[in-house]
Amino acid sequence: MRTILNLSFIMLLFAALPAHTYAQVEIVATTPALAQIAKAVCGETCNVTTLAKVGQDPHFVAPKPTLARHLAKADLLFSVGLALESGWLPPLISLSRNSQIRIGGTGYFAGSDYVDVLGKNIEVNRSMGDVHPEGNPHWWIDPAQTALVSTALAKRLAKLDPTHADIYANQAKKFVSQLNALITKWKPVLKQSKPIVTYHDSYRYFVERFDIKVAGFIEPKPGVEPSTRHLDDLISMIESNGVQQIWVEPYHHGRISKRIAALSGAKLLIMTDATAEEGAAGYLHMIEQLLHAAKGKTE
Amino acid sequence: MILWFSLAACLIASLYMPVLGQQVLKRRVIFIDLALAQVAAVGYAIGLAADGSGILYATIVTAVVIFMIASIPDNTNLPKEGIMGALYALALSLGMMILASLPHAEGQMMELMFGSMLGVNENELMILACSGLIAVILMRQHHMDTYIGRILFYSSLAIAVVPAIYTIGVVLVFALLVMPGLAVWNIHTGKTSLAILAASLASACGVLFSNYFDYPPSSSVIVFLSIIALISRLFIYLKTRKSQTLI
Repeated sequence: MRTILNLSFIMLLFAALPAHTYAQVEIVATTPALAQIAKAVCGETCNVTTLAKVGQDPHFVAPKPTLARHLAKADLLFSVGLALESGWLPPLISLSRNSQIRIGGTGYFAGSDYVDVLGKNIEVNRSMGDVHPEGNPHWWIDPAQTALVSTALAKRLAKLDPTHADIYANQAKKFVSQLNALITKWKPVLKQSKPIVTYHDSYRYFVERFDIKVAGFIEPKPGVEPSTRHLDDLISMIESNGVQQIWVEPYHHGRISKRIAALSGAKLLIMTDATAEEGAAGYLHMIEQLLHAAKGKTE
Repeated sequence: MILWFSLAACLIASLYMPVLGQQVLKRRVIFIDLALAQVAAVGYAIGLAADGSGILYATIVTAVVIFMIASIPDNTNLPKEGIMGALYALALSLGMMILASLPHAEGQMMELMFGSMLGVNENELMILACSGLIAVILMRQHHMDTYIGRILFYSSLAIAVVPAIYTIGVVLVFALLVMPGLAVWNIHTGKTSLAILAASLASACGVLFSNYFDYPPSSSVIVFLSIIALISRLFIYLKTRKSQTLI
């Protein structure tokens, strides 16, 4: 009888504790790559949901009630920042009625706040197309920037969930060392590579990290159709500079890129910025895919 | 090379879009081209979702829709423009719903709906020319407001418009259909030839202007189409006024 009473007391004690002490932290990431980074840092202690799907242009995500519902129960919103999601995320945050994840809230975490932003402080006007005036937002394809963000994310998670602070710090440390190892291994491999052409300036962080030279863009002003002269000049430049690869994201204009590749003889590569695999392994695999594809031209 | 292929695509489209456009304006079904293109895109998306041929599904879905809208007589009491607009809105919404479950198909769908003359190749020029020729032949076959006549009319539009949107882009197709027809509206003799001339002139001027001054070619062609249409309307207005004064 005494044993039963003791057990009942222990059970009551657990029941009286705040529920959130044992609940998983709910993280909502805007893109699949951010979800991989979040999972790499928090492991099984958090539940991570993604708003944009693999293959979807993260600039344009159709708002759906399910997305707002995900945000409503989020403890932390992990976004890219630098206005990448400005066209669709703010209305969803308002719709979610979750004050914690509003900009400036404890549950709002923009990765761009912790990276060395490239392409900022430029004079911007409408003639330049859909540029991001605050800077280039595509930081997540640079493992070094991801390392900075992962460390900061671990600190933020520790504030939200102090019980697991050590787990977050250790996981982030392990992930950062994997990222650094990747850079150390690949940087010398790609250093002597030939210049490439990209659709937009979306690979800037990646190419600067691995010293790959970008010789030109198919669409120099994002969202503005290039002129015939620009494309004819680009083909001549590709031929004269020995450019062997054209990089495009899966959601960008395939026909123009295919035509430029066909006329210039350069190889067209779909360089994905998101994969379906989870966690650190998924993220590292995505970057390795990019690196292997980039290496193709040096062989 | 890009310049000459873009120019060729625009000139080929200029040879038949104004011919079809006059019928579109006459029947007051301007949104039909957008609606049919969107319907074809929905069919294509269904094909992708079913792991089948996008082109086959697009053809089937478009044909079914043509059989349905052909049942509406030309002299119906219903506002036809409203029906076409509603069809467009429905097709657009269905396309978005299918795309929501197929994010990897977004690039293909965008290509289908928002083509660009800058990516045109030899095969696409051939398809553009053949589809235009078939469309004009079909369009000339019907003269009466019968079910078969309307099927021929809508089929000819679908055959011409869907590949053209893929090849030169939706906005330019819309402009080439409507603007030359407006430029020669109320002219009684040589109307079709003048519309083709206006479209061809605007295409040549627009593409060459864009190449020389480094502007987007589709937008430049549309600006030249507007200028030519405005000059034409002004000329027709002054001529009509002069003849009225003489009377």
